Amino acid sequence: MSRETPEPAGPRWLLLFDSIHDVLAAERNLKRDALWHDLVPAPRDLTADCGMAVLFERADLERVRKALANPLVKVRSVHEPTEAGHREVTSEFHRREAP
Amino acid sequence: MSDAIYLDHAATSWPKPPEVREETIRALTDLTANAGRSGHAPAVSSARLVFETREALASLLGIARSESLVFTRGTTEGLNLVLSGFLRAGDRVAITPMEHNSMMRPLETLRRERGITVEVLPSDPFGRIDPEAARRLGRDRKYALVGICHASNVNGIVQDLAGLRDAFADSAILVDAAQSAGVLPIDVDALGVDFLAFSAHKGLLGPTGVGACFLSARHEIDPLVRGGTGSRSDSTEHPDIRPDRYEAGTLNLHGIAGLSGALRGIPSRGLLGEHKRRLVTRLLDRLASIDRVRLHSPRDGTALCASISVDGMPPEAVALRLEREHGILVRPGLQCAPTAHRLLGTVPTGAIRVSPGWGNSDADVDAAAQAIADVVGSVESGDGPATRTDP
Repeated sequence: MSRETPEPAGPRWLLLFDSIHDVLAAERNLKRDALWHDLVPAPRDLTADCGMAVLFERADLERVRKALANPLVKVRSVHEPTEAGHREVTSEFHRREAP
Repeated sequence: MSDAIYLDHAATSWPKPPEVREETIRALTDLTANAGRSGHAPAVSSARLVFETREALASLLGIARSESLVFTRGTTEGLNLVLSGFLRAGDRVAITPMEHNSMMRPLETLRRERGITVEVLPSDPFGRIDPEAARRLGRDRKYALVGICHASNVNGIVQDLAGLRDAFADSAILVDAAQSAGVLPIDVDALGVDFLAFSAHKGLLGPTGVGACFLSARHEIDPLVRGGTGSRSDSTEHPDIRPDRYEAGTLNLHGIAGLSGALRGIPSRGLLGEHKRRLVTRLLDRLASIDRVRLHSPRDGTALCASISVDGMPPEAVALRLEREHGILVRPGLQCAPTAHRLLGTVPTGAIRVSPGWGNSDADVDAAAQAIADVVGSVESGDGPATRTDP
């Protein structure tokens, strides 16, 4: 579902996790729910880890949040790539939209 | 080796299923980069191998949160991790009399260094703990930890894990599953045990040098080793996240690859308990008619290996003749479990362990029984002198 499928044209957000185990657990859940995602090296301006991060399509926010809730995968932080680097959007990621 | 009959599966399994060879060779042949240490595709591929093997193991053992299952070098390292990381000065520990030295030696060290006390639970003559008796004991005495060798590597008896969990409801339970993982059904979450350690190379039929240990999220124990994990690399503080906290240093990726192959074969192969018990029962039934042979395993169909001794012949002498004259490979001696042999009355010489496994047939144990009869030199007919069953 990641790089094999056409890349989305819309904006993307970046998920950071505490461990590669959590990155791959997220990948498992996103694959299961057929959500576009891409594993990329974690940007050095965000973390000193040697690990990976997960890109997803902003338009899928609700479905991604739901996918990561079962089984629960703990997200460390969420970021929006910008020309200047990254803007943290963790609180926006976790904020539930009004029904 | 091709003509030999290998009956030492409690030490390690042989042969290995083809999937184990295939996956190990694949890992050795393909680029196997360091899992979790880089962002390039081969490193991610290695990390997936670790993740998927961990998930498969967790699924086999009824563990919902796979990050609580950490890779180790084997059962011994897992038991050391728990005992060293969990026990505090003055703690009281209870164990079964069938514990292996992988449990006994770290406990003895902690007894000297931290002043813990260790009590051996009362058992039947074969080493089995009655959960009801344990429950009565558990009412009077509080143990920080109860160590349980699920299946004995000496005489193959199996402890009632669920019963003992209930009997010691206020204690942490540490299970040595060296002889039972891949052999008996184990549902860790349903049992509610706190820790469970095992190796890949015995009942799971994987390679040596790799194993895993379940660490319940109810306890945050100290790691055995600290160092690089690929996570939180900007800090010299060891991370507190699972599984990284307990997996510092490069994992045994080739061993994990072999284990992944072993796990892939389980759905078609099944767990080995029924097969082992059938062969052991068949063997014990045949040995029971041989004079001078003593049986130290119960003949009730539950034992996973057979422990025997021969009056007047040291175990190593019997084993040597079995190998040299009959091509039968067994293990004599104390099997690294002197406490168990004290209970069975087989110290200081130990006993002969015959442990069939995957790949063995009825013909193999029949050949072993006949060979033992030949070595003993007194094949008895059905109405011959009765064999003593000890204890």
